[in-house]
Amino acid sequence: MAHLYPRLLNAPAKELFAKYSTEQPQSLAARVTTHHESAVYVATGGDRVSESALRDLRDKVVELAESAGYPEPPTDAVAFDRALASTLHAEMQLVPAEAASRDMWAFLALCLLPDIAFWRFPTPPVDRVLGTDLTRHVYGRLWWRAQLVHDSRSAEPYGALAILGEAAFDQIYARRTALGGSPTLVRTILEVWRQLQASGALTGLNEREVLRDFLKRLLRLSSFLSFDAISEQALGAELHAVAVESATAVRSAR
Amino acid sequence: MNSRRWFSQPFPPDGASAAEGIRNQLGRPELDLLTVLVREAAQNSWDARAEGLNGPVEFDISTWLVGAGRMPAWRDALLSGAPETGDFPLRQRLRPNEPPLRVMQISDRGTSGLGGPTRADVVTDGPRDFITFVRNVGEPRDKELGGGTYGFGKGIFYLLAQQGTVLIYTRCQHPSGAYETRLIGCTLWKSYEGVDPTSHARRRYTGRHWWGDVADDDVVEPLVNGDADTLAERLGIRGFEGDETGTTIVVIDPVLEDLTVDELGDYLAETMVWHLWPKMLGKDGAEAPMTFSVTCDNAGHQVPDPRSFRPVDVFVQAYDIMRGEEAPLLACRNPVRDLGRLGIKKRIMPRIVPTRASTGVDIEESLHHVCLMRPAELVVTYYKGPRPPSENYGYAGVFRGLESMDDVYARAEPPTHDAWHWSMLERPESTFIRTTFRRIDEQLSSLFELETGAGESSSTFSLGAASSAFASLLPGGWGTGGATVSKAPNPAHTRRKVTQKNSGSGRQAGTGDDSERPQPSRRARAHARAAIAGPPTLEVHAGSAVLVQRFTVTPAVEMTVRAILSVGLPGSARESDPPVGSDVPVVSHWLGPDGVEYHGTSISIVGAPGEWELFVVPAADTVTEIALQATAAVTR
Amino acid sequence: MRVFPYLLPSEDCVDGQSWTMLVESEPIDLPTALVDWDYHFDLKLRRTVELQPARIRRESGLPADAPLDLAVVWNASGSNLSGTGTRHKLGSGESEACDLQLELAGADLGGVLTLTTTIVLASRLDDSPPAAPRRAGSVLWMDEVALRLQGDSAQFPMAVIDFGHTNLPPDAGWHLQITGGLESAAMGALLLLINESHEAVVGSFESAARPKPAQRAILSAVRADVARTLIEYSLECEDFEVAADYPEGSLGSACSDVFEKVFDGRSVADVRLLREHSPGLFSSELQARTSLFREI
Repeated sequence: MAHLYPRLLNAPAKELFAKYSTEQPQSLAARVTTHHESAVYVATGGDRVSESALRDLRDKVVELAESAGYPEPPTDAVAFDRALASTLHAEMQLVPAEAASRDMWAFLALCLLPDIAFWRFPTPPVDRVLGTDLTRHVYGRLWWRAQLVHDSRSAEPYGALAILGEAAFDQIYARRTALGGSPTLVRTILEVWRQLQASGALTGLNEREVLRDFLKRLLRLSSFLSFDAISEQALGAELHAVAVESATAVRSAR
Repeated sequence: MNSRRWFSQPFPPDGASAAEGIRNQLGRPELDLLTVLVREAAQNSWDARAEGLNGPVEFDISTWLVGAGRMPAWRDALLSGAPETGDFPLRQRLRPNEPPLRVMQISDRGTSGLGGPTRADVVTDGPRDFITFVRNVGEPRDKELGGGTYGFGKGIFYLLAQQGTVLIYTRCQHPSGAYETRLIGCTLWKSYEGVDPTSHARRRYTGRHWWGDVADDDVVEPLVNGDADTLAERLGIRGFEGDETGTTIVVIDPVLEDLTVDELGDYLAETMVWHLWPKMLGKDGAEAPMTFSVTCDNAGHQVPDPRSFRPVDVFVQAYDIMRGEEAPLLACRNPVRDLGRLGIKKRIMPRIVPTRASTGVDIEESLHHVCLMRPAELVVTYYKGPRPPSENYGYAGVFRGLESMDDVYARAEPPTHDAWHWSMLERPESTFIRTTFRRIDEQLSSLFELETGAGESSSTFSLGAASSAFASLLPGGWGTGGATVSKAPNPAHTRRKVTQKNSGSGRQAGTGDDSERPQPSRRARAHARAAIAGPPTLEVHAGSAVLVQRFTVTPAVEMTVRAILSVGLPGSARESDPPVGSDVPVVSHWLGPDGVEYHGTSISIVGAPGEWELFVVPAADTVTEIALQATAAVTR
Repeated sequence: MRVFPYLLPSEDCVDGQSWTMLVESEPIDLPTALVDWDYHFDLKLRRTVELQPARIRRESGLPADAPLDLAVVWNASGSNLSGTGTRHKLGSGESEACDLQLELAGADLGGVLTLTTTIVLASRLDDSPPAAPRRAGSVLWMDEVALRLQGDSAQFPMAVIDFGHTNLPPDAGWHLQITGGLESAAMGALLLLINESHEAVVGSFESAARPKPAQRAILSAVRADVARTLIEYSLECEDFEVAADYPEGSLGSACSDVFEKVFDGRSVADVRLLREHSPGLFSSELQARTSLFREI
């Protein structure tokens, strides 16, 4: 069942952001609320998330943060993000249409979990908190990462999160619109990449450089290829060929 | 004439407050008089805590019957100069055939005592406690973040005394370091018409009477030091030991409602817990800020420990939560202002057995209350929240206003300090009070999900149609309904097609692509134009793919035509950062209408009518984007 | 101008007919916008495409056995997701008619939905002739339609729940839940709850797009009751004023608006008195102005 989340619209979100930017992350714990006067919900389409569900979500996230060192700076931000991505995705009962709302993520970062947001990104730029760019939002980007890679058929539905580091993933994610926002495509890219790593085709190369080149090639191709129109198998073969082109080109350019 | 006697205040020609007016200043308290007494007296004591004192403020209430052996001393002292009128009832009460006289002594130690000048017209920078307590009425508080506000609280002593008479026995330390004890009697009853004892003229009296050393100018000064101590001892009033300072107030013949003395002791002790428990808590390892004791007819009545006394213990737990870091800070959004912190403790609890004291704060069988307090941490009231859905659950909350908001909350309190009324304030301050309660309600309603209940729907049909049909009830504002998009034009139902002509003939191109680039000048541009004639075509020449772009130019103009070639990316983007070692499209050659071949990315020509062709070698596996830019040759 | 890196078949090789959408198993022409869409609104779409597979291959320079797919790809601007709607392998005959059918889950959509019908090379052809497509997914033909699902028009917040699981009266048909004060956002403060176990009411809401007469009456009654509840709520708020400067989209401004519509120009105090002293008249005035049963 889909949960509808409260949304903090731009004006009150900006106001809170300005206010919280001058406060210590720990003092934000006292600002935590499951309710905001200006918050709105989409009119229909699900059940409004209960305040107890919001509190449970908060408890789980705080627990993750504490095991990552909160309130001290995170010991391993990458591991924290990965764990948070699967927690958010598994717990929130969020449909993509709802998760695409920037205002919903602003509520999460400013009302429900401001302390953790400002701890994860001390003095954050506005897009980390307000959701102006979901590929950058402290929580939203993680949910979407999980959404794009998770495979409910797998024993480890979120296993693919570990294939690429955050920076590398961001490269894919940032080109999401251009590459069609297709979970199949993202999963196939990750799968091809895993094969490439396993086959040794990347040995001795700067993986990030190869990935960047691979994505550039995909971007070129996407102006006349429709990745979603073909079978996953054909897509895998095509992407593999493109990735090999990249690896070869990067290797010969050295 | 004995100078140690009563003096009744006559109305001066320019008027004064009548006693009734002063008695009424406390308003009509909703709480019973004994509760108001406990609250107001303890608050006064707290506000009077001695600075630099390490120990707690000690607060004691005792009551006893004046023994037959001591009665003469009481009569001696208090009948002297007592006005002969029915409007001074103490006189009658002290008669020998009356029932035994009960007194109630409210004393504090570890407080500063009523120091400062004894006359209201003396100007001083130091304390003025004696004057504000004994003489004046309605002076604004001088204690930052104190519990009191306008000094109406002392009125309770007079209301409680059945004849309106109290004795005030106090010890203070002067700035010089010297100690001084003072004893003065005060009556506040009602205004009356009487006879002046000296002139025997009839005159109007205010109903305020003082007992003490009447000075030559008819101002009543307190008995001091030895005189005071001796009399206090004869009357059986608690004295001062060592360097103790503080105040003892003796209420003569107090109203006991319908309580027996034993019940009275228990009631006072319990009332102290209900109303003063924050002052009984030792915080962060320190000892409690105040200690409390009750003695009735020599029997001590234990004041319960709030940490174990049900259900006050739940409020103590909420209080601890409120002081923790996780306690929510309630805030008002418009205007923006932080209000205070709230701690809530919810737990399974058996039914409460109501007592007189708990009933007094409107807590009966179930607990669903929030204790409101200001930074002084004196209980204002127990605000009732929604009843928990199950009888087995209860909750207690503690809301403490921020120091920055103390003034607002203080001014929202009636003289008895037992409520916050938004109606007592103007906007925006009234908004802060209203919002406080609203925020508390919100926090409470989320406790048990009182709002929606636990239900999750199982039906998954769309309510969109119904929702739109009801939309007229919600004009304006935010929405996501599909009916309109005011900002962006409706892109709906557009059809885009991939088209590519494989032959060069056909339609006339509407516009050239040249307008995108900076132009040398309006004039020159008007004279040099390369207009693309239809989409480029893909042809195979000598086994390789070649793109052919046909175009026309402005006849007879000398110009440079430049090919701008790029790899097209999704949307209308052009590639600026190609992959490693990848091809980019390049110009193969140009062909004029006369069959002359040109080479290079840009060519200088004189415009000839007819069809020109540009041949491009595309980059493998890319969409090629071709644009032309024509620039007139510089002429003078 | 753009040019693809391979030859494309001429346009008349493909004739794509219009899209239709199934509403309660009845096909209707695909509109440009769905006013009533929400996350529970799944879409059932259909279209027939007639094409000439052999000619398409020929004109693209592809061998006669080149694998081609006819596919529908969807993309929703709301969720920023895309995916395959349906895929169909093309035969090798001279002409073929394909019935495309797809079902899209509302949960994945939102914003503007774009449906792209496309013919692509289904798998890589490493030895394809020059100027012919060789990469899997190469687009040979496509067209697009767009359907707006979400815009910015107002909707009234509603949800269906079983009152039996709440502390609401289990036999009530609906309940207007109002949380928060007049300053709070109406889209957060209001929620019309429909009792799942009240068949007549829940059925009316389900069929609100095409209600039967009895259902229309129920909807009218609920609507009037919601207006009434808002009015009574306003009257109970001691600080409610029609002229007060409530924030845009707030409960206060919604209440003011309803109040104005019903008690045009009358003061709040006046209406409070009316309600107190002439509850019957108060009720009838409400009934008249909320258009109770007028649509029937």
